[in-house]
Amino acid sequence: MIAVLLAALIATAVSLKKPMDEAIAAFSKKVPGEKLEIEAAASGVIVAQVEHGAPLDLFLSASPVEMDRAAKTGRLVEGTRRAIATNRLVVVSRKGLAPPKTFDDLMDPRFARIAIGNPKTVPAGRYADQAIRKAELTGTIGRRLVFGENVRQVLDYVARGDADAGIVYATDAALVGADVVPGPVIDATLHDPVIYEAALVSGEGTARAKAFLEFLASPAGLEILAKNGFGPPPQ
Amino acid sequence: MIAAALSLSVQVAVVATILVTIAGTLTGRALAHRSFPGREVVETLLSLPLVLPPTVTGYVLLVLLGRRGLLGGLSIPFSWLACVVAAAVMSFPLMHRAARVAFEELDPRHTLTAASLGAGRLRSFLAIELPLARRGLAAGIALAFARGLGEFGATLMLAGNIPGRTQTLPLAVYEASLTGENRAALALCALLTGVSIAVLLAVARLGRHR
Amino acid sequence: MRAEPGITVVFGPSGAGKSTLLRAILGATRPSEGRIALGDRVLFDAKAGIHVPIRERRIGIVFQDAEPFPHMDARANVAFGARGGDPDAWLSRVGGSALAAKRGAVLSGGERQRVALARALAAEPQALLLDEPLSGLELASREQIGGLLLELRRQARIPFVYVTHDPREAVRLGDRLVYLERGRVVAEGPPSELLAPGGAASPAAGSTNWLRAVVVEDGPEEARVDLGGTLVVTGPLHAPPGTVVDLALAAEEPILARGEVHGVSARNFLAGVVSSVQEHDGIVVVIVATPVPLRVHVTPESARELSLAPGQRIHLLVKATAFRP
Repeated sequence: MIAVLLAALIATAVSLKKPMDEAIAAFSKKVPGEKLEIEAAASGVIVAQVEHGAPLDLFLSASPVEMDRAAKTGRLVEGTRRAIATNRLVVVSRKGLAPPKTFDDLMDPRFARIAIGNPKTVPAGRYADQAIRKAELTGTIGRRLVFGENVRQVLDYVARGDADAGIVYATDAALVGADVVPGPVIDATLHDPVIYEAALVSGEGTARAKAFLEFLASPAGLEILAKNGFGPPPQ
Repeated sequence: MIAAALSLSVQVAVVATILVTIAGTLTGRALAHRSFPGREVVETLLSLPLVLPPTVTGYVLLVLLGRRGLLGGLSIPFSWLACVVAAAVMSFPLMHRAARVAFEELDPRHTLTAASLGAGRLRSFLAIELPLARRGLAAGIALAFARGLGEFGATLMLAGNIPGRTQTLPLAVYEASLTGENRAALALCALLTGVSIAVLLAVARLGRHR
Repeated sequence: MRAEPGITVVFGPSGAGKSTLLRAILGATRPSEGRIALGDRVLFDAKAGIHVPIRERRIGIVFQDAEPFPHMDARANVAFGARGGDPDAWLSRVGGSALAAKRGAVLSGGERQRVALARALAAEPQALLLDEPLSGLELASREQIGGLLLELRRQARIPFVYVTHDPREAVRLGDRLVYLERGRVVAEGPPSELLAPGGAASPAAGSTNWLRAVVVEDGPEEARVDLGGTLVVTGPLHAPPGTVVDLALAAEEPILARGEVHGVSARNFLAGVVSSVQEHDGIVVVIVATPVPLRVHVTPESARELSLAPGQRIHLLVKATAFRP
C-alpha cells in the first residue's frame, strides 16, 4: 500500500505509450527501487485531470497547445517544460479497399467514413482537422468524419472496418496488423508541427519523476524514441 | 452545441423508449407467471445490460453491429440509429422487469373470469391486463426514459461523439469538461437534470390520477 | 358427480379439494385423469386427450371476494361477455340498477357479488360455478345475496355448482349436496339428510345441529315450528305460518333426562330414542332421534350416571331461545 503511494505517476499521450513502457523498463534497470506508474489517455483528457487537481507527477503531451493549458493552471514546475520528440501524420485505410495514393484521394467516395481523433480533445485529431482544412478537403469529406476518443481508437475503427480510412501518427501506423493498410504521409506544412512536450507537475512524486524525465532527455531515452519511429525534438 | 445535443437527446430517448416499452411489455408479460426450464437463464440474459458496465455492452454492440459484425449490413455505428440502439439496449431491462412485476401482481382471477366470459387471449390482454397493470408499466416507462436520456458509455462506444450527429447531452457534458468549458458543462448538467426531473414528475402525476 | 339444473352444493372440510374441483370444471387446471362433460359436450377427457380451453366452455364463475374488473363500471363489466341482451336489464335482475355507472373498485361486498353474478349470467353460460361467494360478506349481505341466488336459480335453469364449507348455506341454498373428503366424493344426496348428525357429511358439519322446520305459529314472544313431525317452541321468528326456516341448535344446549321433569323454565320437552353414544376427546356425543336426529354433548360422568345406551328412551329439555334462526 505504502509502496503504491510513493510511486510517481506519469500521464502520457496515447501515442507515446509504447516507447514510455520501454523507457520505464530501461530506467528501472538503471535505477532499481523507483516505482513508476503510467497512465495513457488523449492529451485533452490529461489536461482536464491536471485542471481538476489529479495527482500526476509528469505530463507528456502530444501538442504544445495542451501543455499551454496545463501551464495556465500553475501546477507545472517552473523550468521543467521541454520538447522531447516529433511525429508525422499518415493516412491509413482498411483492408479490402484500394488504399489512397495521395491525401487528396480521400475524396473518393469509397472512403465513406473517415476516422480522426476528436479535434477538441485529441491533438492528432486537431492536426488532422488542420490538414483537411488547409488541403481544402472539408467540403467533400467533412461530413464523412467520425471521431475517436484517442488515436488508438481511431486505428481500431479502421481495423474493424467501421471506418474506411483514418488519419493517425506515422508511429501508430507502424504498429498495426494486416487489417490496416498504411498510406501516404501527410505533407507537414498542412498542419502545425507535431511536437511532444514534457513537464513536471508539482506534487508528491515530483522528485522521483524528475529523474525519469532527465533519463528521457538523455541519449538513452532519445534512442528509445527514435527506435519507435519518433523524430528528434526541434533544436 | 447545447441546442443540438438537447434536441438529439430528446429524440433519441423518445424513440428508444417507445421501442423499449413495446418490447419490454411483451417480454414482461411472456415471462410473468411462467415457469419453464431455462427461465432463469432467459431472465439473466435479458437483464445483462443492467449489470454489465456500459462500455462493455457498448463494445459488444459495436462488435455485433459493426461492419464485420452479424448485422453489419445495416451500417449502424456512428449514426443517430446507434444512439437509439445504445439507449434502448441499456434501458430495456428496466422496462422488462417493471412490466413483469406489474403483470405478476395482477389478480389471476381476473384473467380466469375474462376467459370464462369468452375473451380470447388478445382481448384479455388489451382490455383487462394492460389497464390493470397500468401503474407498474408507467413506472417502467419513466425509468426507461430517464435511463435512455442519460446513457453515456454504450453510446460513446457505438455512436461516437460527433457533434450535431451523435453527440447527446451526456456526451456533450463529457466533452465540455474535457476541453475546460466548465460553464458549458454545468449548463448542460443543469439542463439534463431539469429534463429528467420534469419527465419523472409528469409520469408520477399520471400514475397518481387513478 | 352429477349436477342438474338447480343448486348443487359441493361441501367438505378445508383441503378436501372443493376449489380444485371447481377449477377443473372451469378449465383452469388440467386433472391427471377423469372426464368432464356439460350436456352432450365433452370438456375434458384424460384418456382421449381432450381439454377444451376455458373460453370455449361456456361456464361462468363467481369467486369469493373477487372484484368485478375494477377499472370498468358495472355496466361495462356486465357487457364484457354479454351475448345479446341489455346489460342494464341484467343489472336490474340482480337488483343492481343503481350501480350501473359505478366503477368496480368502489363497490361494496354485496354490490360486487351482484355485479359478478350479472356479468356471469349475461354471457348465457350453460353452467355457473360459485366459489364460496358469501364467505367474505357481512351477515345482512349474506342474507340478501343468498336470497338473490335462490331467485336466480329459479330463473336461470342451469346447474349451479356452489362450493362452501358452511353447513348453514348448504342447507339453505342447496337442492342437493355432494360431500368431498380428501379429493373423493364420499356421498351425494339431500343437504339436510347428509348434514344431520350421523349423516355422511356430518364430520364436516361441526357440532351444531342444522335444522329445517316449518313455521306453524308465530307470535311476539314465541313461535311454534314443525320439526320433522315434532312441535317445537322457539323464540319469535317474524315469519308467517308455512315458511320454511333454518334453525341452529348447539349440541351443548339440550339437557338429557331419564324420566319426566316438571317445573323447569325450558319450553321444550322432547321425547326421543338414543341412536348412538360415542366418546370423543372427553366428550360424549349422543345422537337422539326425536325423530329428527339431534346431536347432544354431555360429560362422561353424566353419561354414566344416566347409563346412556342405544335404544334407550330419553327426554331432552331445550329452551325456546336455544333454537337460533
